[in-house]
Amino acid sequence: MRRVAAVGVGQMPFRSHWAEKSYLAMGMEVTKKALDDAHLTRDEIDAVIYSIYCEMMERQYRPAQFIHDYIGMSGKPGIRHDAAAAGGHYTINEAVVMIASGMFDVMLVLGVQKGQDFYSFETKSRGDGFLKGMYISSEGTWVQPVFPSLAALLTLMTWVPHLEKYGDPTPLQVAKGSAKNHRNAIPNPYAQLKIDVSPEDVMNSRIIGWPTTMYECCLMSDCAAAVILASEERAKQITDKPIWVSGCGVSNYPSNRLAIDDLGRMKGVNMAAKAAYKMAGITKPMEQLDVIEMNDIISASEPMCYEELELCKLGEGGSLLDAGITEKTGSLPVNPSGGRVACGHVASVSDLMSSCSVILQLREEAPGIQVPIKKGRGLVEGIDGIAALSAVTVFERDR
Amino acid sequence: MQQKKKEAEIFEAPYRYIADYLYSYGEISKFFREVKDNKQLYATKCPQCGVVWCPPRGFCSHCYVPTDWVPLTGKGTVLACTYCYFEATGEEQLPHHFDLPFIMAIIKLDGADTGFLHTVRSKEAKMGEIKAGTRVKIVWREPRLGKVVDFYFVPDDGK
Ligand SMILES: [Zn+2]
Repeated sequence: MRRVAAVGVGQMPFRSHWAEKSYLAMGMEVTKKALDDAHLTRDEIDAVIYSIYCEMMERQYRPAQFIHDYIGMSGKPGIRHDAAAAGGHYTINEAVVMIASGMFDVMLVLGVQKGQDFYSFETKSRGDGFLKGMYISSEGTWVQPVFPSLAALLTLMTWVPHLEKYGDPTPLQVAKGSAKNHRNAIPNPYAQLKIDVSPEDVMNSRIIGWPTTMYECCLMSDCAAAVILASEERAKQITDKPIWVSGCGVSNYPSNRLAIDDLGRMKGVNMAAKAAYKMAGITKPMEQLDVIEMNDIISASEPMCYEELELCKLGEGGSLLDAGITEKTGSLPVNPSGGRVACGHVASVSDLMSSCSVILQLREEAPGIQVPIKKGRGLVEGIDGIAALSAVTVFERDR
Repeated sequence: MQQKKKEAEIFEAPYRYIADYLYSYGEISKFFREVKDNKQLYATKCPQCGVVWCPPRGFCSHCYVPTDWVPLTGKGTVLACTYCYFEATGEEQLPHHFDLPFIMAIIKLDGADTGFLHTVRSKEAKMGEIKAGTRVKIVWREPRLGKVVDFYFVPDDGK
């Protein structure tokens, strides 16, 4: 198997609505940025893989083929993958396999989602339109008719039973995590929400699905992001700072938590982490990583995933927040970008943004959000809205 | 200024996509026929490994064999619940609106081996009173349409 490296990234700021750009133009913007970052032309891209989970968001079935045409890739292979909010990982994973196998040398991974063109004519709200337009992502017969919002469903399946079984994370610990990520977003040029909130502000904000509050829920955004991956031989020609994809793991878990023993856990994250750690040769993640970006789709999922990523034992994730270990100034910063609650979130793109962010961290070129890089390794974790699809990607630079 | 001007030039037009279905429940049709016509909950039991599935599965996901129908009492125990102060469901899907807050729960129905996602209603119960371990029983709605919202759960007072 050939080694594969990230050689270029393209990001644009998360916004509540990118009214002045179509999803096609957004795809072009980040593609151009990624090509410029890698000093490549579009002719040097062998194939494109698209992370687009929700067709309804683009008001269009099969949107990938229209983006493919718009960004001037006609005639080349274009592959589209949907894995909800873990889609960026699944596409990177597949691109790695295709390049490692020798099928392609240079691939563009492109995520574009524009959820805020949704609109509710009844309430005159884009947010309501978004929630109504995308709730058919949940299972149709048993879940959709009683669907209470992803935040409430994830709280129900994970945080509430986790708190009961393992005693953490407490509402105060979760609020501290939310406050941390809001603070982290302020200097991030790509972040959507830049406000300083205290843990008390977080706990006193509107309850969405008890105990999860408004400031503990991900934002709803429009965004696009791109990563260019290349084989070892090409990567060394393209850049002095190749960032190697050294570990990949994905795990699909039941989306309705039929299995009672799984309540309170995000076992898919643990399985994905184990696979990625094995591939990357990581045995002590807490000591071998410099930075983590992960999906805090609700703030409680961050400390619970500290546990699933084996940074600590079950029941100890909240204490890492108490100790400040995952602050930007701590020994293992988590979500220096601001995470989904403050940097922004739209499924299929924000996890690619996380990868862009960690790649730039390892290059020591992350404007506003740079953390110290000592070990040369970073990790990106992604889950879909109910932690059924889980993925972990490990990036590392030459040491 | 440039930004303002650009935004002023944006033009937006309304679109609405509607897809209608007459959806076949296939091998689990009996579940919804019994719900609609007989106010009776059913699960399916695997003849090979013995797992009782509810939501029912016509074939066991462990053994790939056809399952057998078994009736349930409609009573169960809350495994976990959350109090929802916000409802995101598309209203067309919901013949019966929820009053806020409503309680979403994962319920272990008596006789089943799996968790069942549904709502628990209680006018009296204060936040936190319904929790893991609370016994619940089914309440049937009128009219019923052959959907999972044809019923909901309330605390079981033992009567
Ligand atoms: Zn079986």
